[in-house]
Amino acid sequence: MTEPHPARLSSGSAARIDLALLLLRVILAAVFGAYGYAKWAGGMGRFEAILMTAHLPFPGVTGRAVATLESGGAILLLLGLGTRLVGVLLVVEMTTAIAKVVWPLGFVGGFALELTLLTVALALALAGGGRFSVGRDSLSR
Amino acid sequence: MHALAGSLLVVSLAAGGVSAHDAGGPGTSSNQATQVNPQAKALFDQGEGYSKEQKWDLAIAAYQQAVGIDPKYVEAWTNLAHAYRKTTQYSKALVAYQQAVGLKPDFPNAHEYLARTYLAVGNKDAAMREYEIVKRLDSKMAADLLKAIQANDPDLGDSD
Repeated sequence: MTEPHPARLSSGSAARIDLALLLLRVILAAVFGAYGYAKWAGGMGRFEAILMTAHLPFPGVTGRAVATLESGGAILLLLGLGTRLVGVLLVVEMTTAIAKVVWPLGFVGGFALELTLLTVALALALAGGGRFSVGRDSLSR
Repeated sequence: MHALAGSLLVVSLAAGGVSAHDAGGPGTSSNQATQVNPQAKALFDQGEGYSKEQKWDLAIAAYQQAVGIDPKYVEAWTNLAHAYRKTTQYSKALVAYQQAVGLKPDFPNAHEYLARTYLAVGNKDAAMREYEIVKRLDSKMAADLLKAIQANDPDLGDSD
């Protein structure tokens, strides 16, 4: 992975990039955290039904793994820990969702939300969490 | 520190705005309200009228036109499948129900009738797979469906 802030950036530019990365992390954490919470709070059966309809394997295990990724990933994103790894996992989740579930619905009212989330997650996977992170090691940033 | 506190506020607000009903998304936008094409809606209403009068061929024609105009019209696909089922065109009914569940995978009624149609064509394994899905969406509906599958009677307990 390349460094998010090459030396040639001015401190003002770097600060703006760090702020932008924080905003991306917060909004992604808000969306995935909310949906992950909803799955644990009684929506798991419905989610499993969706996975089964999409012919995805082991719906019980997969459903719980996705809910864990969404809720746990939200906390990590907020803190700025393991941002790149969480970003990659969310990219995988959204790619699967688009390909297996929402593609038939088209763009508007269909996969527009998932594509947006995928793009934000990919941006964080590429850039890391930025300076406003708890984790300051190279893996989390 | 302020950034973290702000972040927590945003997340808690988001969590409060999402109910268990929305648990599928992201990745399952099928529950999003989509606008139905008015022309397709008019044809759908026409089809419903014909269905009530049991004029199945006319109903099929109306529903076919509705889904031709709006291929994402789940209710029209479901009603088209129902009309096919009533005229024992089971293979066409299966295709239409599969379209409906593909567009709205958490629609229990479409899964239930897909199961009953599989049962009508003797595919009990596929009916059981659909039952497993219905069980996760509507336990009462699933109980009735299981009785029908066990009795090998697609119409048992079907109020339709």
